[in-house]
Amino acid sequence: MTSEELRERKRELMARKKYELELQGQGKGDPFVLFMLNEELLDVHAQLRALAPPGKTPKFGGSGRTHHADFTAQFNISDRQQFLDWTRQVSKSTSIDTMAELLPSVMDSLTKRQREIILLYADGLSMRKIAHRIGVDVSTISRTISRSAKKASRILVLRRGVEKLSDRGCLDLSDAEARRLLLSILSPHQTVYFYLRFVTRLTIQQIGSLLGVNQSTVSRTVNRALKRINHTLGGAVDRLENVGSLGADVLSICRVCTKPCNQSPKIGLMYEILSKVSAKGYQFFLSEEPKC
Amino acid sequence: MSTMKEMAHEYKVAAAKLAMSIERHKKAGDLTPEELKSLYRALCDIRAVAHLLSGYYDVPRQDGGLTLQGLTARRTRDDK
Repeated sequence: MTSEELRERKRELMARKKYELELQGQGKGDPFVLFMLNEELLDVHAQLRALAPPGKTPKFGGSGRTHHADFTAQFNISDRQQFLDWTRQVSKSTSIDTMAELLPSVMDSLTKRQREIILLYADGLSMRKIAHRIGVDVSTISRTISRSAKKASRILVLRRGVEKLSDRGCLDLSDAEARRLLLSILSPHQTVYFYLRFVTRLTIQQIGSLLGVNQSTVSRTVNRALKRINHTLGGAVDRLENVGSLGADVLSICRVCTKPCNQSPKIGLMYEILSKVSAKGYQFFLSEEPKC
Repeated sequence: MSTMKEMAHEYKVAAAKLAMSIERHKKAGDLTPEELKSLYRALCDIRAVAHLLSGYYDVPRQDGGLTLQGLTARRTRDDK
């Protein structure tokens, strides 16, 4: 029985109970019928309780109280089937519907270990039991669950943002919001390499000589940046347009990274090189010896 | 042979009869609190069985969950 059917049955039983009570008040009716109705009501209540996760009664009607993070970490789920029943019951809410569709794709973006632990947690095992089963400390499990929940929610937010901004697989980077989304996927180092490779159109060798690093380092970082973009966007975007407009954002990221509070010597050096490149053109520097 | 639903109904009828007789005894005041307590315990057990038979466990449920199969323990620092 679905929860809608159960609630309908509860309403019907309550009406019958009221009628029986009125009859008994007039000295008519059978007391056994009233006790039987009570038993039926207890059964319906038990089934309704079973469809709701323990400790948290779902608010029906899509009030927006539940968030995607609830799915992965915040619920104290005691029974996987019960959890699945519950997600089916509350699927009236559009946000939950969307999240339920998106979650499997996010699960792919998690590491094997994170996925394993999240699934065990969704199976209803406590953190202590998971830790015992896998053979690690409880704090490791707790940390993994919170990290994967954060990662899943970050990717979900990004994908939803990109879905809104992209047009038939194309993301236009002249939009500041699209630039912000794209750069939030990459680390500061990856941002610089990505910028030099795809915006200024330098070759791997040129980037290597400009930044004074090995070619394999450049190649590896660029590939990792591309992999990260592909993985995070889940194949929703085929091509990027107006990549030239990334320049100012990349410089501002480097500027933030070179502030005294976020001191990073490597990034500081990159910022110096990038600002000179953007001012004089990279060909000028390529003719010179590497700086480091 | 009766089905699960029929059995659940029989247990519900039994629970209703027991609840009715407990109510009657309470009004008459002819039972000690210990005797009443044991009757309540029996009522609770009958209700639990009725609930078990009434279809809540119709949906497939596993003891451990699918993901638990084929999982091996990781090496810990205590292992040599």
